[in-house]
Amino acid sequence: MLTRRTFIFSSLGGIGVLVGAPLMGGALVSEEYIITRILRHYIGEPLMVPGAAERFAKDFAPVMWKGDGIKAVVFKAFLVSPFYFSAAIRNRLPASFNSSIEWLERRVVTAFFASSDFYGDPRQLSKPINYVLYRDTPLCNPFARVHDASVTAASS
Amino acid sequence: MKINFIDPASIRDAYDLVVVGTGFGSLFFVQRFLERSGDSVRVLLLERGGYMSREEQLAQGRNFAGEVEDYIDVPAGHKPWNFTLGLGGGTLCWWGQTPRFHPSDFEMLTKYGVGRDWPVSYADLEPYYCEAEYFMGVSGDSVRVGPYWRSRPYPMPAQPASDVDLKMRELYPDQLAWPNARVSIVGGPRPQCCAVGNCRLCPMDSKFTALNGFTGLFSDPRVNVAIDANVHIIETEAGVASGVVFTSKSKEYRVKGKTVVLGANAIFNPMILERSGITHAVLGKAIHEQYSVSVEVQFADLIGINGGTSSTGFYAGYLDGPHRSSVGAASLSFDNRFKQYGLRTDLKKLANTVEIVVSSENLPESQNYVEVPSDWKTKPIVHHLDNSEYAKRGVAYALERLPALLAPLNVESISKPRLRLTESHIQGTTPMGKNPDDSIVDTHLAHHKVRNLFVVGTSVFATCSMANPSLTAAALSLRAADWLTA
Repeated sequence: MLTRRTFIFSSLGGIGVLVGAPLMGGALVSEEYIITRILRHYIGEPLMVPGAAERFAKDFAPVMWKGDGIKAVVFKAFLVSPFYFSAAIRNRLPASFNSSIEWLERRVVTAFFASSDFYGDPRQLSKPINYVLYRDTPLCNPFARVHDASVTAASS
Repeated sequence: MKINFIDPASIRDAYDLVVVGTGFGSLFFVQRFLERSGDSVRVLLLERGGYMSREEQLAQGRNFAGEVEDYIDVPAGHKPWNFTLGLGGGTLCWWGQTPRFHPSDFEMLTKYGVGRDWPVSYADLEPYYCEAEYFMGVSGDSVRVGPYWRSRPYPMPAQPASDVDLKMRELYPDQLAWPNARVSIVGGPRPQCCAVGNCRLCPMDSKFTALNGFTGLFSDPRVNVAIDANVHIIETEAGVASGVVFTSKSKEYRVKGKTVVLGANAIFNPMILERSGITHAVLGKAIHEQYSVSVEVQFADLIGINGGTSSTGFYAGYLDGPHRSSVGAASLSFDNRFKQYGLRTDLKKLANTVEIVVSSENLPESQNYVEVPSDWKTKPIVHHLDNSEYAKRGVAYALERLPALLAPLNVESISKPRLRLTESHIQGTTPMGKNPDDSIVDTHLAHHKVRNLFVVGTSVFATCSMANPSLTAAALSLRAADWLTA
């Protein structure tokens, strides 16, 4: 027969496993894994040159969570969990948590594009993207339009 | 690049012009002074900071070697400030935005009963605005100029607009192109802007700076440049400025000057005047800058970041009107960069985003001030606890109207506003005015009491326009030097 004490200890243990395991996972999983997971989720393998995501992740990982401490562990736990891909779950999460995750995702995607050869007509996304070099400021604005040589000072 | 550096120890004689600081205010003043003077004049530029070449700045990712905190103190909870100390001053770190002041900005008291009137009008400054724009190589739209009437077209056309900007221009006559000192064309005075959105350290050298724009001045045989020269006193004899005292590498030096130009910044200008005994009840008071927030707007089908430079357009519809008697004028700047908010993660809408910066004019208030410790080696303390309610109402006014304004653009979302801690514009503290009782300098930037002392730069601003200040500082200096040399 299940005593009250056994029930309490079992429940606490269960909760501990449920909460602790992802946190442990979050603490142990590498930033590089999370970066590639985000890129594959939003950009997808066919649009990236093989190995580009991994090479970018290696360079971006050291700056990804600079100074976030314990918060980073919680974020990582969520990002490696199956819940990450569930829109239904994400809609139920606190807005501040969701916006932090979204900010992180955008940061990863933006840094990848800005550090890549994503030039030409970016609306087409017609050829796989290759990683070139990571910098903390964008190397280019791939969407920018500039005047060609036919526009002169007299045009003003 | 040739610069006529001089070792302070070898300064022997007197100069016609001794200039403190090497930012916009000082260099435009000196430029005009040299244009109007003969071969025999001598000019000494004293710069407190050092010299960093453009290559060194790019390599180190910064405009000057020190930190702002090394030079000023800010009490806990007070507003932070930002500046560059080094040869070129604010011309190095500025983003190159060159809006003019709105004509009404010069007569706030007369028209709206707030702030004060300037001793100059838009019409007085207009020719000098043009001259400064031509000197810096400004790109802008000469056809749709809004309230900023002009006597000459811009030297270069405006950079291409983003899709969002084009739509706004189609809908609203008040949507204007940002003028800026970044080159818009192939074959311009500097390389064409690449729209990377990192203008503080322009990777192309497209942005005007002292190092690419004043090369003739720095190499002029009439000019000497001393760096690491910390001026702490302007000497006067019988109400006339006779020279300055400065320290370089722990040694004190004196140099004589027929005319002294003080162009440090709005923190150091009042500090130097105060320590020189050239005091006044309003000296150091009412330090100010614009009050700003930013929001991200996402669109269903419009790209917001495909223009040709970092800020492509601004909405001027809230910049003037009767509301200014109680609500600050505010602009909406459409920024063409993605560093702040990032690209979107939806690949079909990757660039359907824009950062809009809402900036309001501010009311200079006397509780915001520069405290000057009597010991010249102690840093000044800059007190600025809060922005004026007038400015906050200005930002709120624009934000309330933003959803309706953008509604025809098929907006998906507008984010919560984020406060921008500083616009890196330091203004006020030695205001210009007609009345010597409530201002420091006159309409020609000459000190009301010490007539051969000119105070230049943004410290002379009588009120806080929404507009970025550098072009106006340059125009005021050209006008002042014209008057001096007339």
